[in-house]
Amino acid sequence: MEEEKPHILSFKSQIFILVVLIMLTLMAVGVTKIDIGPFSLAAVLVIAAIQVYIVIAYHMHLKFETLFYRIMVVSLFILFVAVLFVTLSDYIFR
Amino acid sequence: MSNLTAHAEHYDAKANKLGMWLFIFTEILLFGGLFIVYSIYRYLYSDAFHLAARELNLTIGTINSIILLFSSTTVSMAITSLQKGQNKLSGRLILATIVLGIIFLVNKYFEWGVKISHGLYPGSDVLAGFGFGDTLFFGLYFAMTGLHALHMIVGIGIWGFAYYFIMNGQTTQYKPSMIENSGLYWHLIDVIWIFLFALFYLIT
Repeated sequence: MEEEKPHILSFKSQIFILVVLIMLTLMAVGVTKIDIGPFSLAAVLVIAAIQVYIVIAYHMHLKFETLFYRIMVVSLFILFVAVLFVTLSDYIFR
Repeated sequence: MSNLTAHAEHYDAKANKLGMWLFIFTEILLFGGLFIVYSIYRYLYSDAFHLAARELNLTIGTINSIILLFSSTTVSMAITSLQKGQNKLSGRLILATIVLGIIFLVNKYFEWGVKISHGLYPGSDVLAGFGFGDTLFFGLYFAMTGLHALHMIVGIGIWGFAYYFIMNGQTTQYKPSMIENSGLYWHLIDVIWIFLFALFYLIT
């Protein structure tokens, strides 16, 4: 196996990521306080998805991994969404 | 010579990482299944879920989210400092992670304690009186946050081992797989909590 050079994330960028993640959390809490009806669900899920993207991309280093890992993770999420979609549509349209 | 190579410790960083990711995929599917169950019952009993979700303490949930985000950062910093060869700092950051994880679990203990003292636990008479939707909501709440907490307890144990391995020189900047994989596991716990927090505490 050839040697892989590890990608090192600096403390500074890690603190920046932390601040962004905390601000997104507080933003999600703030969104639930204002009444925007059904959009509140979408807003909360979108913010959660952004947070998860940041954690997986930077904390879990996926952004710096080979294409192989990125394809695997994306396929897994597609599989999950497909199963969720099929199961939910079965309940909704049965 | 052949004897020597036979006893030399085999270290394959790439294979270690691949194995860890495969394990993480099975974990995502495990929690994914529970999230699908949650989504369907939320659709079928939307009014009951709507009212039951208001029972949860958003303040404790938010504090716990922030604690977990902090712990993910200390983990990433521990990996960075190990990669730079600062083993002592890395050990300290791991201890900080363990402390943050324990604080999370203590908060969870008090949160659950309040729910249980109000009679909101699976199989209670109070919940039975509320109806099927509430029973399902709190059943899922305890099962999913409980499974998550169980992962955290395991994670804290793993950090104990990681600390030991760094301190006795088994995990070093040249052999960082143990701490990198523990980090992946801990971040996975963070990812799952972000969704749990959104689904149980935020969506009311």
